[in-house]
Amino acid sequence: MLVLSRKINESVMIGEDIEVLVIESKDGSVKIGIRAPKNVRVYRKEIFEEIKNENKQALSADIDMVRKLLVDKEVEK
Amino acid sequence: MIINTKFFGEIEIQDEDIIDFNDGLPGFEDIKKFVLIDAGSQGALKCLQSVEYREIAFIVANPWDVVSDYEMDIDDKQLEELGGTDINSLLAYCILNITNERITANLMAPVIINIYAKRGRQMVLYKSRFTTKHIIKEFTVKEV
Repeated sequence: MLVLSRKINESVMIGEDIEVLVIESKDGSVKIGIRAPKNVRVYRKEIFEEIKNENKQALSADIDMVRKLLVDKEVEK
Repeated sequence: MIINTKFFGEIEIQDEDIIDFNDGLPGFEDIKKFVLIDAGSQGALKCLQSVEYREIAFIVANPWDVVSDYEMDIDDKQLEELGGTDINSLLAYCILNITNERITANLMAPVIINIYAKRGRQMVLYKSRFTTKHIIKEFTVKEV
């Protein structure tokens, strides 16, 4: 991993068109600004990981449970 | 064409039924073609089924059926990428997580589909008050 030191209002370029700017740093948290092309998705990693995991878990939906749920729905209507 | 589905066996779909997920879904970035299959009567539940991979299928629901005051704030730019901001062309679904213990809905990351452009994406609502594990139902396990 590349580790760099930056001051407030200094930035890092990743390739030609992605800029990461340090805006503010206080109380152990850093505010950063990101300038990137539209097609580059920017995520907070922990939330993205949570959604990934959620999707993976959703796939293991118990087939019998799903069937039961579907049947229940049929009965309700 | 005939596709093989996880919950409904073989079904016939038309080319125009296919929804393009350009980025896939988080965790399944390479799976880009899905169809929405009716999974419950009157469309209360749907199944988002991969066209190519039988085992990739999500049970989804209308988030407003889950919580009536559901809301989401999605950037117009992101909607433009799906084909436009006209609310009448958009559908929203939340992915359900169904186990023997409980059913939860991922209300933080709804799947948004533009029904005319046939493009979809799972959006992340960072500022949402809703979670990825909104509990819909808990099953009590009976002691034997």
